[in-house]
Amino acid sequence: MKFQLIKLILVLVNLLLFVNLKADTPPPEFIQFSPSAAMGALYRPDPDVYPSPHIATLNMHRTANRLSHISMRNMAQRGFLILGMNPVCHNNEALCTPWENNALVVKQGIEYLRTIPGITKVILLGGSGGGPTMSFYQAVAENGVAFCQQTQKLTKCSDQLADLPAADGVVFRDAHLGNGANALRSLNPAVINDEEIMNDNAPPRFDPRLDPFNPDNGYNPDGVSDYSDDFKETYFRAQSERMNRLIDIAEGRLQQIQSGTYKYPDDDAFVIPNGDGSRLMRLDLNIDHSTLKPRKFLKNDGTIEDCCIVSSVRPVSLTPQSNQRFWSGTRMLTLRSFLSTRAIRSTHAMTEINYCSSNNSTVCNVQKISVPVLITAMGGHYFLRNSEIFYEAAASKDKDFIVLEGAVHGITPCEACVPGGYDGRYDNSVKNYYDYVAKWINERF
Amino acid sequence: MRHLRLGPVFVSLLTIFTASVYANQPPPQFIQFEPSATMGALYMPDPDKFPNPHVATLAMHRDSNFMSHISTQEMPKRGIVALGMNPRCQNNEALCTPWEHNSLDVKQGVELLRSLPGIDTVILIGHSGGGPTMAFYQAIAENGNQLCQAPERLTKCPDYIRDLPPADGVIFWDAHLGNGINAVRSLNPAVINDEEILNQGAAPRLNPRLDPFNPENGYNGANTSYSDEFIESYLEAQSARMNKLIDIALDRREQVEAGTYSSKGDAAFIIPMADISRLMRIDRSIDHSTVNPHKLIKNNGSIEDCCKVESVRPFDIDPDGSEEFWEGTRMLSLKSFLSVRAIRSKNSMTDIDYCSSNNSTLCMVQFISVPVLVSAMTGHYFVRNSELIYDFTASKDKDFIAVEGATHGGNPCTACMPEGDAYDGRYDNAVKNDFDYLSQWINERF
Repeated sequence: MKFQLIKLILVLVNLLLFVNLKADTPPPEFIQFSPSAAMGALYRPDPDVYPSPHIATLNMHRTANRLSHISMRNMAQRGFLILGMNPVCHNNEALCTPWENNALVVKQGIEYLRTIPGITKVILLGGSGGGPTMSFYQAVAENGVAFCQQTQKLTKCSDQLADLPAADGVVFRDAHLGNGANALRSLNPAVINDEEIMNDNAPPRFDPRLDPFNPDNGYNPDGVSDYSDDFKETYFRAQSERMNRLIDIAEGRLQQIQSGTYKYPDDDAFVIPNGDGSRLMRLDLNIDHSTLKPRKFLKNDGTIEDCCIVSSVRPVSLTPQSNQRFWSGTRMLTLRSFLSTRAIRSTHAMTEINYCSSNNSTVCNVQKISVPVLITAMGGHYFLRNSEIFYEAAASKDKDFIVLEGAVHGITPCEACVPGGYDGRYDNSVKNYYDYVAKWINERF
Repeated sequence: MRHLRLGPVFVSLLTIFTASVYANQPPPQFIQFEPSATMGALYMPDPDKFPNPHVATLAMHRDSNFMSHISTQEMPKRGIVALGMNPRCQNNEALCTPWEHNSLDVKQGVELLRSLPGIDTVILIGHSGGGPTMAFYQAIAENGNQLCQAPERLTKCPDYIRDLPPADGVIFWDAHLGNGINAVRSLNPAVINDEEILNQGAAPRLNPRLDPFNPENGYNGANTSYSDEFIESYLEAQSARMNKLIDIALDRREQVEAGTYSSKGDAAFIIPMADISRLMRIDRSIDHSTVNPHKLIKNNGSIEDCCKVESVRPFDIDPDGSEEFWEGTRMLSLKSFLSVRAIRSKNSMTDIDYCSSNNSTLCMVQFISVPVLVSAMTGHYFVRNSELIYDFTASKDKDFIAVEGATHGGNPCTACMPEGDAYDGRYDNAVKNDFDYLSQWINERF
């Protein structure tokens, strides 16, 4: 009898769980923000299952479309309102002039969510490039514009960013260190003639000793590359040198604009060939292969292992073509969008970055955030160590870090992470992830 | 006694009319299409007032946001379902590689609307750059892709642009002749060193005799009146500059295709002083009116059908804009330039090879057979463009109407006043008049 009762309770619990997870969310509502390119889609939980939601989440990237992001359905199915937003430079990074103004779009989203009856808490979701976006927003909201106008910033924010309403928490999903840091690590440092390229439209010339796709340097076209320590050290320092050179050129032109001596009075194109597609850790999987310390690891069976250093299971994800082709290898920017979005000072692309030289810097910004933060990393991608770095840098007293087993950057199971053919070993990644996020939020708010 | 009986009837009619026009719409639904940048917002009429809508409209531009376009607000008030869509190169013209791909986005919208219960009619709305978009879509849907692969096209459409389901009608709503035609008319022809600019990154050098903002050429702010001789030279020089740019781009595209160019697949193609030099924005005698008499909806709702329709547009150009990067420069790639912003011509106003580009409303409307309504806003400078679209349209059932004092966006043109006069409300009914006419045109046919 007792066994049957327990069985019945388990069935009911399962049923409830099933109902919750399979809840029918109403169709998403389109929301127009200002200016016209800023827009959102609001997803609500099933009102029959969650009649009184009090927590809303807000997801926004820099350029990518977040109006139908995987988090929309998954958060709504777990009882949260979620607003996916696209900012002014959606689909066009060159329009981030400056990137800092995207905070004004986040602001509109927060204000909108707080007007919805019953909503008392707003949590920011910063996935990938949403990481610097949301960390910047929250840091400025908590500390004021003086923070983003510091002298060392390559671009200083405008006074319009005063009085941003703060969110109640931030969830980072496989966020990175910042778009400038990403750009730095993705530059092909073999390019030796940026002045010629920028001043005379010359084609790039290369130093073969720094070519990441040169087999003499350790590149393996058939699998995982294994670069020597000497090569890596030279490469990372050369990436910093190229980035610093580009920054100097851009700053020089901007100074000419400000003094009225440039050919245009406001901005100019800044097109960087071989500016992407050369991130060494995508070729040599030993680089940033794991966390440095033991971390929580959310396994496919739903258990959490908390004992060990966590390793990435990512595959090689780069070809020479991606660096050479225009649309994947070139950054098509302007002076202002480059300096605001894709520039950061450093002397070594991996270990010696001046994180606070850019506002677009998760590591710099999390040091100024006090609200609870959850940092999550995907075990099938290459941002594992990135996440650990800004977890360590985060100032919040209430902070948590977890790695999701075998998930790609977009949370779904990493089928390419299994040599010899995918066998279903990461099938629960999405469910496990959003269950964890929902639990973390519900425990706090 | 008669007054007592008619009074309540009048009030009831007024109530019904007001309720119809100002019915409460459900919130718009976000629709995700493929690829990720392609999206839409679906606006339904109030189901209490319009329980069985059977007509839907679809508005889409090339790069502007149409998910809250004025048609999405006004059509549902009149019982018509409205889908506002953004294509894959929304917010980024450089990503139109090629622009012809946007028809695959229109296709998804048409298919979605046809799948809605009760919808049996889909009308395309081509506003501004939506004009060439929708003309291209409908022409290919009716004629197949051999039309967009004709040898004279600067960019030929790919084979997979096929089997497009045609719409039932098209409304060209202050549409223009095409983005290439707009581009050639907006080029500053005074630039004389495009090879240097594109090959060596040189700053533009100008021929002052072709500078539209040079007082010696006739520039005088809102009172500008150029000589016929200057206008002719200018328009021919615009064509010459465009042809030069096309030649450079075609040569580079050949090198890209041969694998001999410095970048693979495509390359940046950045054209300074390529906008803010459209002569008709400075000298308003150019394309000032229709050539023939046409219908004009006046602010009081009556339709005048006797006379040439005149534009009441204001002087709206900032001379400094041409020299600014963000106002005056086109930031494109080879492929997007040749697909979106290039067209062959000898005179940018009167001698254009309309079918050298697929992005050409005038070329495409010659191949459309469904009913077409062309609507022009007289507070803008596309009145004559619209008349040309109307004249070129092959459809047997075609109509042309101009809306008095409406801006390009359809709203009352408060700046369209005689110099020194404050706006006095003379165009306040522009939106209502326009969409009442549009919905009547639809309801009479479908």
